[in-house]
Amino acid sequence: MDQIILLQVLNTALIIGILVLVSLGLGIIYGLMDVLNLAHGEFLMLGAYAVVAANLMGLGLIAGIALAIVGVGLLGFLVERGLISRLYGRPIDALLATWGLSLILQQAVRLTFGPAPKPVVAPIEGAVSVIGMPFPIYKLVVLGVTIVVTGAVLYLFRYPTFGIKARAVLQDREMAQCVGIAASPIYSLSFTIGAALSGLAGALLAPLVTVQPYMGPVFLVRGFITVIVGGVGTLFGVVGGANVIGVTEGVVSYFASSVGAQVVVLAIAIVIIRLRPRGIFVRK
Amino acid sequence: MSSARLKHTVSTGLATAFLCALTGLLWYFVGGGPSGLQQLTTYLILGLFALSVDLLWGFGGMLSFGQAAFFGLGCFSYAVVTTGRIAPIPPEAGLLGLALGIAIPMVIAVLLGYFLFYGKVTGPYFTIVTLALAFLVSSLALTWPALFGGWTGIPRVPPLKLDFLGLSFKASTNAFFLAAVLCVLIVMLLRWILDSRFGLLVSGLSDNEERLEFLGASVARLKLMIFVLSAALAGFAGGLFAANSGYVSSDLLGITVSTEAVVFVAVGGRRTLLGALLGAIVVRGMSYWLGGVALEYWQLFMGVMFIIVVLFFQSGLLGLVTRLSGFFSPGPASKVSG
Repeated sequence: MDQIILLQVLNTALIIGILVLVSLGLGIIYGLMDVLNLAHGEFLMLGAYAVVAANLMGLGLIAGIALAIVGVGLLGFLVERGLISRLYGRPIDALLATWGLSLILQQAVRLTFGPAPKPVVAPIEGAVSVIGMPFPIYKLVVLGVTIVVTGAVLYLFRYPTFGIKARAVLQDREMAQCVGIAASPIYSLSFTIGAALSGLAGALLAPLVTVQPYMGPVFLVRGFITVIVGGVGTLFGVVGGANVIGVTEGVVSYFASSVGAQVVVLAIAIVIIRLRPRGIFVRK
Repeated sequence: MSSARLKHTVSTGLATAFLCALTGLLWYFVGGGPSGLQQLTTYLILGLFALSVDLLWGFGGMLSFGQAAFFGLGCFSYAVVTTGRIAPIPPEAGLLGLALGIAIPMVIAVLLGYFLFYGKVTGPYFTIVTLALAFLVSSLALTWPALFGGWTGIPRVPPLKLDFLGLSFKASTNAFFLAAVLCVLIVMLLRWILDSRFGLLVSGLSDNEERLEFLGASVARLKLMIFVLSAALAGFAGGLFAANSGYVSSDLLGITVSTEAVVFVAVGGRRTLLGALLGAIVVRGMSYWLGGVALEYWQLFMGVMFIIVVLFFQSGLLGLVTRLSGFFSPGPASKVSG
């Protein structure tokens, strides 16, 4: 029984790691630019398809991950410059435009790769024994990668000049601009980083889930709930929010069903919007 | 009663009747015959559904990606009652189905809206929560095949029949006229409501919610009322849709249908009523015109529409027409208040 619980804990930790990668990007983009990026789930989906494409070209997962980070990051950059930057200060229009973009990306992938799910084999075979129960090495590697990347992103937004400027814009855009911080390059780079993180999450997930064109919105919704719960405008809050959501999902789907978990998570989000509109992990 | 308000209502009704008549002229364009007319009826019914989105989003300022949940519940209410799926078919099944299709969404909207609006779930959060709900509802529907028909849906839904009036809408011409008359009546009703004091307050929601609150209006109550009204209209459109198409499936509850309605309103023109109908007719008509490829590229087409509308013509087709001629002016509500 202990072993089953331990496996459950490890799997939950994995879900939390992926949620953090997806939500960090969403949280940064929303906090900085007031843009709810509804195409964020599609960035994750494209990351997963980058691995599929790499496999088709006879390349391995590492190449796939690199392709996902660079390709989706580049796409993010182009989207920010070409579309989002025209819509600052018009949150509802930005929301509509990114929704349109998500529909386009879904259909484009469907037309390119076909509607059927694409199998991706785990590149690292084998399992380690966790007190007598086998646990796939690949999942441990993913867990490690998400922790390292999360640490790096938190560092990036904390100490280097870029991070300090970005947080200044995040806290008070007008004041930051008054003291001479140019918001535009920060928006551009942050959006690119957010997109690349989502692409990375998709690439890491590819061997673990069914890769199909419509896999994005589920992660989008979970990511947003994570941001809402954790608190807009705080990256540590996002990590906290991912823990709340991940653990809740893990526990409820273990004892009840996955639909039940969706219901509970949504209910929690609504209660938190009511009681702590700025998130659990933000001091009032 | 002010005569300006009456005049505004009548003129909007006339414009709607004109639009419906124009739609009738598309008959040969969609291949003629009963099936062509059935197509046009579908456009009008989807236009009614789009009106519910315009009410909520255009006037109330609340963008929902879950409106199809109400539409779909309307569809299933009609289909379940008229096919005798869980109980023997009652007399006046069509009427009962339509009534349930209005009542059930209203009840759900009251419960849900109470939590959301009194819980201050507003702005983008409202949109996200409705998006999450849309997913939830379609997955819940699939777990209940006895009622919702699972993946296959419910086939052979009978057309509307009103025995007590001796009317049957089986013939496609009858169905089309019914839809057209309902469109005119409902647009007039909405215009009448929106020109009232309540309507002015609702318009205030999308202009400046905070100021409205300071002026002493209960924003949460207003939102709840408009949410319930729009759920009722969406459910009614759903019932009509089921009667017209003869087949319902759980797709109708889902995110794609919700999205489509938002496109209709964005393309036709927000906050104009007539724009919602126009958007449904034009967008659906274009998809028909795209022909066989449309099915494959339909979603792509919708995505592109979203972006074009947002970037280049925010006031939609009707805004374009208004700018060109000044004829279809929706008329500022402030003129009417006196």
